[in-house]
Amino acid sequence: MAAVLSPSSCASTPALEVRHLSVDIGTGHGTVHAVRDVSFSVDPGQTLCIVGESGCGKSMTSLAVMDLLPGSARRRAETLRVGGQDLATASRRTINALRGERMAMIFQEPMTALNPALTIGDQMTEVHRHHRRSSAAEARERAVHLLGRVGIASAAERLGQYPHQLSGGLRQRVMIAMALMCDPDVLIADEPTTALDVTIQAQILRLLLDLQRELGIAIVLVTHDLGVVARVAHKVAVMYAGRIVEEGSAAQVFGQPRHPYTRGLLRCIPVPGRTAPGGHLGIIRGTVPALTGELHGCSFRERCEFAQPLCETAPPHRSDAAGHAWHCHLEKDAAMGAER
Amino acid sequence: MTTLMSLQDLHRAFPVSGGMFRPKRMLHAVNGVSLDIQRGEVLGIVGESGCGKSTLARMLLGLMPATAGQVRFDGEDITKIDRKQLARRVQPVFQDPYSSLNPRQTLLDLVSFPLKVHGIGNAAQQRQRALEMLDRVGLPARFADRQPGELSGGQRQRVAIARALVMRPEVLVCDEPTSALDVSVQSHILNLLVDLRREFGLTYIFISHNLAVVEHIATRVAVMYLGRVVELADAATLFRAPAHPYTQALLMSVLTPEPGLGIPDPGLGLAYPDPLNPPSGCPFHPRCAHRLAQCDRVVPQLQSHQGGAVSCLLADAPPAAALSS
Repeated sequence: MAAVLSPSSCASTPALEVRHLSVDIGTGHGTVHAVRDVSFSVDPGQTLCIVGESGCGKSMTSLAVMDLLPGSARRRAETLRVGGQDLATASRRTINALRGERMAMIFQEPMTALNPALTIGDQMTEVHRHHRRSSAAEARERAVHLLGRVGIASAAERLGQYPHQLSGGLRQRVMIAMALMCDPDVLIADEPTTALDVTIQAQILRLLLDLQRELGIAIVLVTHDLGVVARVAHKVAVMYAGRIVEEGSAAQVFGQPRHPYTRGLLRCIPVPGRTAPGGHLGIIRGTVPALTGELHGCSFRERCEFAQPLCETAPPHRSDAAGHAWHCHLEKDAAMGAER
Repeated sequence: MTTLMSLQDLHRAFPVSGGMFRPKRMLHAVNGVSLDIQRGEVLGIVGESGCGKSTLARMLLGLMPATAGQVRFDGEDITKIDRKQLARRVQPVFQDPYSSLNPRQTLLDLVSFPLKVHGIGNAAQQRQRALEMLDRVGLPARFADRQPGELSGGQRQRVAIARALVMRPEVLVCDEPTSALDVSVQSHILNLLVDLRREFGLTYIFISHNLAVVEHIATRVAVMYLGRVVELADAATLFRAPAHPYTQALLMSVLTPEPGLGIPDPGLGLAYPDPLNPPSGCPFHPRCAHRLAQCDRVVPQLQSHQGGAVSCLLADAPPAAALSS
């Protein structure tokens, strides 16, 4: 069914393919290597979750894919392919033509992403009229249809309203509807539910997954919330200090985490039934390293309980037959044996 | 256990402009809350944005007067207690350590300032006590001359905690203390709060939208909805067998890090109601999956229920009927 909807939905081509992506940001204190040699791909109808803490480079990665980086940032990528079309070498015109049409983005705080001075209708129809050269009536019809699809009642009246007249949950629904105006292949969602209450979060995530099933969209969901990741991800990429340190299915990463950082992170969160109420939670000692200047070896070594002299050198890429991959000097058995 | 603070039919309403030519309307942020806070407990307060939990916190701190009802501290009306005296006993820890600390002061100045205001000890003693407290929260003496701008978010929250505790208060009102922090930093702060409570015999009022965190740290939990407490129970009972349909939906919405379970449908079809125009009867009835015919007319009262309290007409029905979905 998905194949009917979009020409790029055949299983052999990933909807989004990123190879060797790096982002450097020039600052007064030197160059910050915010994203360092990141590679991933997402198939149509699948969700990749990029998870990590503040400053790990997850948002920079998503902005780099959308070509929305700040002016001080420089992007390098060997491959950056959306639906088979390479953006790494494409002209600005080509990228502008694709952004909003083949790939769309939703942000954490819809209030800052929406224009407060324009009505919902003006903002929604603009994308469609620009990319599809549609008439005002056609664009409006599509907007009404999509607002209904994301669960907004009396959609036609909503088109005349301004963002401030809507609640946070409704604004995020409008953002999603707007992102879908041109039927994109790839949707990048940067912390889409972080500003929302848990009850609304569940509704918005259900909506995203329903739309994905129906339209075959590939979703890249960037978040720090491990609960969200566990529930929605087909594939998980754990980022630390600008690199993907572990990658696998949700069952692999949550069930048998291999990288000491992933394991540390999972021990930090209170989980009912697993952590003792009022007891001590796991911790990761130290703080995130600065990403300026020459970087070498494993960036997690100063905080790692298994660090050894070897960790001064670049950690090897390890993987198992099931597609679970991680970067660490530790042998698989040693890492698992140290647990418990 | 003894009652330390007592909230008696507490109300707080704000006038809200209805538009240029319309009359002002009243927003009832806290709408008749009565509960006792026991010495030594960790009372968690949960609920969605706009339920009144932060307004309640400000009233407990004496930062905002009640429009009706009162807060009693050790039996005394807090509006009658001198502000400085109250501040010695009840201290806040806020969500955002970036805006709650003066960026131009050093950590030593920030933490010793309350002692100066209250004239406790001489300069050397103030300095000594501030250094001890900073050290206790994990910021050794080498940090004393730094400014908040040089610290990470977690370190700033440690400073906020040290400043709150330097006067040895009895109660700490924590309003979303870890919500702005990364999970690896959050666990350090939660561990610290657990240890400090034991060490100093503190009472916490812990407000958070993160139910897993509340379940971890709280001994008793109040669930708020549209300015009212709809359920109050000890933490273990509330999380094991929530009685109010709203509590049930809230707990169902929590996404634990367990792959394969999918996204739950808490069954709260509608969005949070407009607090300026609250529903009639039970304020939760438009979103309630178990509502009865009379729920849009009868305002349920908070009544004792299996060791706790719940305000729901269903609570009197057999639990099996109330819980079946």
